[in-house]
Amino acid sequence: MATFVDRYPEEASVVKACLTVAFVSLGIGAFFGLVQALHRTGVVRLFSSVDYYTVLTAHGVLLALVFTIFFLLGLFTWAITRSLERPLPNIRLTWAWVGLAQAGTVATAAAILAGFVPDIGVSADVLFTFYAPMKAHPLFYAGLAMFIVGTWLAGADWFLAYREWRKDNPDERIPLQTFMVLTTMLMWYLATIGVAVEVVVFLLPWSFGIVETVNPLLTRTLFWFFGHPVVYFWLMPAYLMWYTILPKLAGGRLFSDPLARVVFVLFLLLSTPVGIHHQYLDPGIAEGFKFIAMTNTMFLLLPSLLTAFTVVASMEHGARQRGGEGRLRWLGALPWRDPAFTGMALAGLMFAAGGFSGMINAGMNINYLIHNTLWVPGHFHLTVGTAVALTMMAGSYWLVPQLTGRKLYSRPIGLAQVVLWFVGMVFMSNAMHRAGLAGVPRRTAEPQYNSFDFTTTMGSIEELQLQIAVGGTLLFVSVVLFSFNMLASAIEDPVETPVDDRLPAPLSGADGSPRVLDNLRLWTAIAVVLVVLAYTLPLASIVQDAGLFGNVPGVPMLIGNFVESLAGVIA
Amino acid sequence: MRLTPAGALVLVAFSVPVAIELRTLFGIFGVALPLASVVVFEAVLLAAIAVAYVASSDSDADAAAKH
Amino acid sequence: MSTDTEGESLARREPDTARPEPERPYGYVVGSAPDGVERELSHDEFDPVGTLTLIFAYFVILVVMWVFMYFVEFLGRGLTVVG
Ligand code: HEM
Ligand SMILES: [Cu+2]
Repeated sequence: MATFVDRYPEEASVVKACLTVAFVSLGIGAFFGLVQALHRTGVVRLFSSVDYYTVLTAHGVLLALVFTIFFLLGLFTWAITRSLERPLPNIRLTWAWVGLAQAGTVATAAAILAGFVPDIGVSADVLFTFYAPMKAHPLFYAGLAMFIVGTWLAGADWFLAYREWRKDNPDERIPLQTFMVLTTMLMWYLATIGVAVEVVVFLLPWSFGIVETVNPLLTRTLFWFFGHPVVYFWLMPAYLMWYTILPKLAGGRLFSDPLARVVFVLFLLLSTPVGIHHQYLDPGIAEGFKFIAMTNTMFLLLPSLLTAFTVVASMEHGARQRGGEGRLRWLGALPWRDPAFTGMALAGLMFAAGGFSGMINAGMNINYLIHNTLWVPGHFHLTVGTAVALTMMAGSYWLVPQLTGRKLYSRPIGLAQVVLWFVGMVFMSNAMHRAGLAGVPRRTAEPQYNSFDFTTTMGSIEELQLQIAVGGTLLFVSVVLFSFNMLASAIEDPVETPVDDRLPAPLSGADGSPRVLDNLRLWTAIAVVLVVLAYTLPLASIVQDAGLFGNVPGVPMLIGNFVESLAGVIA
Repeated sequence: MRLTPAGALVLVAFSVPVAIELRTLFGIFGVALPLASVVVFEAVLLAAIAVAYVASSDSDADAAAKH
Repeated sequence: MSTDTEGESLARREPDTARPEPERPYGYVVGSAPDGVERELSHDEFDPVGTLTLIFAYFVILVVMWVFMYFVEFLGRGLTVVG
């Protein structure tokens, strides 16, 4: 039985090129993760604390931006080609975006890593959130811009492929995986407007010295305009795998195709108009706007709950087909020895735990309890750091053999790797949450203060530090095992059937569902309207207060002030 | 239902957060336990999993013998 | 091979797929769980009680933890003054 590489050799090379960048970034990023986990807990301090932000920036950028997004680029290329059952229309265009995104990544990474060598005079210790007033070398922003344009071209490539397919299939429903890719990319186009304006209009000219000042709140707000939807850009590849691959790995079928479409449409609509929920503590944004962002955020719970139901039900379907019985005993009938399955299932479990700390983060008042503490990294190592990263690693055990035609080097090592990640993350994330509650700050090389001790509700702070260090070490070992397994798989001999790559149809297909679900123009239009509604007033008020490029100090704290001044302007 | 080696491995992994959070649970009810209690909880859970594993492979062997 | 057109492949599979999964520690093919399928369940035959049980349990944990965070951790501390 031929697999992906036999049918689409060019596309398989493209996917491999993307995944290679992703895995290399994962390896380097995980190393920095270990270094900083040991450093900030005081277990081992290998370097001067002055370099902490260089390490932290490299960790955040390489893992949260490069690893996740390059994996997405590869996965979506695979998904489009596979589900449309045709090669990409213009492989030169495809290689062009791969090259552009890679070149951008190299530039950005070089700018960050140069920070270790002060003599070069280049540094970019601005963290992966890179808003003003922290300033990086222009190389950092230029690389970032290339990277983002690369993703735009990738989206264009996939839309072109879809258009070709539509010509030949005028009446068919959009294949599910293609639907997921297209809605995700529409969300991405909308979301990246914020970061593009931030980088091109403000940060790049500022870092070149063309403009003297920027309005920091404006750049922060533009960043978070992009910064929330980017989390869904990380998550949607994981969702694509949970909806279309995981049911099969469990031995079952997707419970409902229309429900999956509804979820992706909801994410397109709701991802962007919520960014201000990252700015609950920013002075200069009226409480009323923050409240609106919180309300929108709570609506985002809906697609996540729908996903929990659909995905778990699909797994249960597999378990019951494999002979599972009972209310909970069916869990034992799942194919736990398959690392691709087990990794994704454990990732989903951790995501459920992350949902809880996310609810705490989202509440405007409770957020004050944990804002900027270690709780927050505790939360997102469950979401992007596990739900996404572990799903991607687990998915690779099934995906990579299709791209190479070679079987996985070792299934037991794969299984050990995903289980180790789970255990390591339990330690690290749990302790981070608790340390955060005790008030331990994030982004701090030496969170220790004279004549002040953190008090914890349970256990001692040393104990929590130790748990973070142990957890971080297990996670690093897990990445080493993953990299080893992938490398060793690359030199296996090609075989006829390296992996079982069939994907069964959903239990309830798209045919009966409303056609309006596939109306991408309509959903995009509504998404744009929602963004305009959510952001026009806050942005106008920020610009009005301190100017586009910043100089006026006054900042309003209440929506009333702003409405009055707006009335003043109109009158 | 037979407990497979992989299933047992996943149960072992799952027992780690359970052991850690049991201590928290006691804490909520005002019983402050030392760190060592987590180790004890974990040991108990591991023993339980080991028993379940051996028992399920025994009953499996019985079932096979009857055929 | 799109997800949407592949409905028959499950039914088309050779009959030997119903045999119990042999214990093969080496050479297990990733993704071959469908080989362990003993019975086909259609949409109407499938009743996701297990899913509902799990989601209900999750809900209960969520509510209890939220109440704990809100009333004990948050309200149990001093005032936070913002603005
Ligand atoms: C080997 C595994 C990992 C370890 C040991 C680790 C460790 C850490 C630690 C200790 C911090 C907090 C540093 C601080 O606030 O002072 C951190 C931050 C962070 N980690 Fe990880 N991490 C790992 C994997 C990941 C993965 C897989 C991702 C995402 C895909 C990720 C994304 C991030 C991000 C975005 C930050 C925040 C950076 C910032 O505050 O600017 N990490 N990591
Ligand atoms: Cu957010």
